[in-house]
Amino acid sequence: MLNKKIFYFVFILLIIFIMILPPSRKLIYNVVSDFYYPFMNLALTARNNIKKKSITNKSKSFLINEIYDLQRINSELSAASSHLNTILEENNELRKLLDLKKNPGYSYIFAQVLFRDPIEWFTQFTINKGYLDGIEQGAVVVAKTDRNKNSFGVVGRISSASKHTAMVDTIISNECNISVYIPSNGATGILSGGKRDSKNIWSKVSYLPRDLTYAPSSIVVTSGLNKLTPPDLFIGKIMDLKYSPISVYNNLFIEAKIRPVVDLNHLNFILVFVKKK
Amino acid sequence: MIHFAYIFLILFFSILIELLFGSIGMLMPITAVSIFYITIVYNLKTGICLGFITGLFINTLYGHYLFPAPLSLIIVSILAFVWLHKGVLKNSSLQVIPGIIVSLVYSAPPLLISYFAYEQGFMLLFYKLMILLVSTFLGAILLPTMIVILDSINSKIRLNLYQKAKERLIES
Repeated sequence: MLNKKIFYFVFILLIIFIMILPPSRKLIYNVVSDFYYPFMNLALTARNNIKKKSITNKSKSFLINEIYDLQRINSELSAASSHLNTILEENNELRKLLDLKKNPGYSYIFAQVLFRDPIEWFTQFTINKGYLDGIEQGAVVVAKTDRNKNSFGVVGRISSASKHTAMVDTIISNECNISVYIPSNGATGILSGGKRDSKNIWSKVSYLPRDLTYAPSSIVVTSGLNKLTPPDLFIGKIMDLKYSPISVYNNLFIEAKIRPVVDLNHLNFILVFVKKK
Repeated sequence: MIHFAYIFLILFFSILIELLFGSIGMLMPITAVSIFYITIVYNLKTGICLGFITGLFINTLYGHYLFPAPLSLIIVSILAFVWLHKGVLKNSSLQVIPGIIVSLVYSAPPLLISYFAYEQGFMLLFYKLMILLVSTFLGAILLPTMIVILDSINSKIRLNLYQKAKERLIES
């Protein structure tokens, strides 16, 4: 009888311990996600192979056109990249002369969505790269805004990373906080959480100054105040007036609804920004 | 040892299948069904412990900040215990009833949490109800199918059968 009581007591204590303490959650996440990684990665590889096979069904002329387009885009990007490198070197030289801190610089890690929760589809997902690949907690995740354009938008942040996988909290999640900047009026605020209804999905930007005006469709970008976040990454636009995007709270600050620029429903390939060491 | 390996394999594949189907947007309550089966074949204590651990694994894998799955799976184990005492185990088609209840217990809490945390509007509530309906339908099919498949394996490797659990209970 006593043994039974001790068993239930220890069991309940274990439940409380695991559910409350974040380090224990992190430990379980690391162990379980790394354990399932090879199997989920196998499924991902199979999915990729099927997609590759489906490409071979397309006509030769279509594929030739695709190659030419890619070659053109590649040369354009190479030219832009070398030009930017020159500007970066020049910027570093000038910073040195002015005794300013050197820009940290970021590298990009390419990753793919490994699995998603069908219930929290828009707020969280797991990618197939972990801390062994250089992913760190708090790193910003971006994805293409449009298939045919070379522009990227912020998807979210890395909330935890195990050896081979990492969890991403999207800009809709309440756990993702990003410092943002609105270039049209110079306001800065904190992006934190969001909601969706049947037609729209939006993030909330809080702590915006009350004395400024906020026009619909104003662009919102990252402020770069956090060392892990590069500045000027496109996040979204303030929503149209019909969705009443601006509200005052506590009689002190403005809260704005912004429409994410990335389609969070269809994510496959993403880039993770990590600070160069 | 064989029991440990057997339970491990069932739960490992259940979680894997749930993750794979989850990645294409389908809410598959296979883990809950497995916990129900294990509780009937083994006992309530095993069911509760495994339910808690499996639920914890699923919620941490999905990165949830609230942990509804361990509690839901513990309730599933208790429901299995009740079904063992009050229900009919021999008729396969009757297992649709616990299949439906188990899916509801397992799928409804996270759907409601997600709706109140991130969603609004009647349309999305309706959409969530549709997901719950599909999940319930899957649960109703999964439990009888799992009983047929696992019982045939169990009889070959001489393990306890789901359909004979009541007889074992009366004997003991």
